[in-house]
Formats: sequence, C-alpha cells, structure tokens
Amino acid sequence: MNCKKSSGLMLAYKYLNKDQLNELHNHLRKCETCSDIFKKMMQLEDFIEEQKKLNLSKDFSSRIMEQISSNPIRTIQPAWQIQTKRLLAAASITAIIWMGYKAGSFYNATTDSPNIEQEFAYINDVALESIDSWIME
Amino acid sequence: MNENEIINDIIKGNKLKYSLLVEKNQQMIFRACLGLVHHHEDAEDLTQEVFIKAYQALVSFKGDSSFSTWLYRIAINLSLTHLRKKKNRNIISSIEELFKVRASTDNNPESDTINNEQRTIIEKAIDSLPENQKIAFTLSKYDELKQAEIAEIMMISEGAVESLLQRAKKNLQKKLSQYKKK
Ligand SMILES: [Zn+2]
Repeated sequence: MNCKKSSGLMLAYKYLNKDQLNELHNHLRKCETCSDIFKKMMQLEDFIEEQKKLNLSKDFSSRIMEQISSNPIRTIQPAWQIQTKRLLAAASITAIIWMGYKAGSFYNATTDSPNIEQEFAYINDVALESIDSWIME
Repeated sequence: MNENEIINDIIKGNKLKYSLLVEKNQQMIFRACLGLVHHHEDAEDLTQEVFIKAYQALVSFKGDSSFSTWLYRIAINLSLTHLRKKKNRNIISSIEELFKVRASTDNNPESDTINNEQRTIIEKAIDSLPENQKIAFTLSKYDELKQAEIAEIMMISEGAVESLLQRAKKNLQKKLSQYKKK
C-alpha cells in the first residue's frame, strides 16, 4: 500500500472493515510520515472529545431569565413598513422645510427604525441569505 | 405542550416559559459555538447572546423550521462574526494574541492526552477551514448531528453536506501533516 491510499483509509478510519484496518496498520508500522499524520488525526479526535466535556456555568439559564426579565420581546415591523415610514418621513420633512418650518420633532420620531432593522439583519429569516455565502466557497 | 405552543405563550407574556426552551437547547448551542470559536468563555458569552437575541426576535420565528434549527443559525451567525472580528484583531496584534491563546487554554479542565502546543496546532487547523466546511464539521463532530439536520440548518442538500465534511477532513489531514515539516 502507498501513502496516498493510507491517507484515504485514515479519513474513513471508523468505517473500515477488518482487512482494511490490518492493511492500514501494516503501513503505519513501516511508514513514519503516515504514522505521524495518523497520530495527529487521533489528537484531533481527542481534542474534540475534550472540548465536548466542557459545560456551561450552572446558573446559565437563570442568568438568561434574569436578563430577559428587563428585556422586552421586540415587535418587528415588516421591511415595507419601515421603507414606507422612511419615505413618508422624508416627504414630510421635505414638505416642512419647503414650507419654512423646522422639522426637529419629526426627525426624532423616525430614528429608531434603522437601528431595529440593522440589529435584526443577522437573525431575520430573510437576512439569513448570508448563509448562502457560506455555501459558496 | 409542544414547542410552538410554548413560544406562543411566551409571546403572550408568559416569560417564565422561556426557561424551558433555554434548558432544552443550551448545551447543544454551546457546543456549536465552542466548535467554532474553541474558547470556553467566548463560547458561553456567545451562547448567552444567542438566547437573548432569539428571545427579542421571538415574534419573527415563523415555525417553518424547528426552534433548534433557528437557534443554530443564530449561533453560527454570531460565532462567525465573532471569529471575523477576532481575525482582524489578530492581524493588528498577532504576538499578543498568541500568548492570550496559550494562557486561555491553560485554564481548560483537560486531560493530559494532548499538550497545549498540540492543542494550538489543532485549533489553528480547524480555524483555517473555509467557513462552510467549518460549520458542517462542527455540527457533525461537536453536536453529532445527522447530515439531514446539518443540511436543514445550512439550507443546502445532504449531498453538499457530505462533500463539505469530506473536504473538511481532507483539509485538516493536510494542515496537520504540514506541521511536521516546519
Ligand atoms: Zn505512508
């Protein structure tokens, strides 16, 4: 067996039959390069097992409950409503300026929507488009 | 009481029921975060952020997928953002960061099967994977999810998941074997 075949068998280590396992072990005994790679792949498995033993703090869920007690569920406006609100606000501000009035209070009333929109850009189902970019390599 | 009924109750104002969802999902979300960022405290902070954000956005959960799938997607998004920020910091102060990584792994309650140097090498190898391979690998190895479940979370086909997993393993093997040559 050559090193290329040995690498392939290592990747499927858990699914090998008895003959394949014997074949691999015979090669590893003779080939230092492959046995070194094999050792590192086993260390990778150990590393993952070690990390899987880690736990969250015992008070994790009560900490979350404490935080949400002062944290309301936000109602989310559909994107078209935010858009319309913005357009209306822009239109009214333009109209007001055109009429020679100051538009301070109107401006204040609309500043919250971009923030909400931005924050939910991550977790909104629609914005999970970003997942598509994971798929493209 | 099923998941959707619990969620409806919470939205109606019965906040306490959220603890049912937290307790049911916290460990697996923590594992997913851990698989992506490796650092215990960072993973716990991210898990916390996932549950707070999910709570705040609960009305936008439509029930098209299961609640856990939705949580996984939030966890992946937040963890990847965290990693990207960390990468930028690394470029600025790579030496400082190297020492931090070592100091932090020293605190892990670990067995002696792998030493800290090996651990750093393995973390770097996993980190070097393309994001989509890293996600599939983490969900498969840390959370032991089936390919169909990973496919749903990542919104790709099962075949695509299988190929991501194979490429991830091959890349890891290649990366790990390179360290000897140095
Ligand atoms: Zn060989």
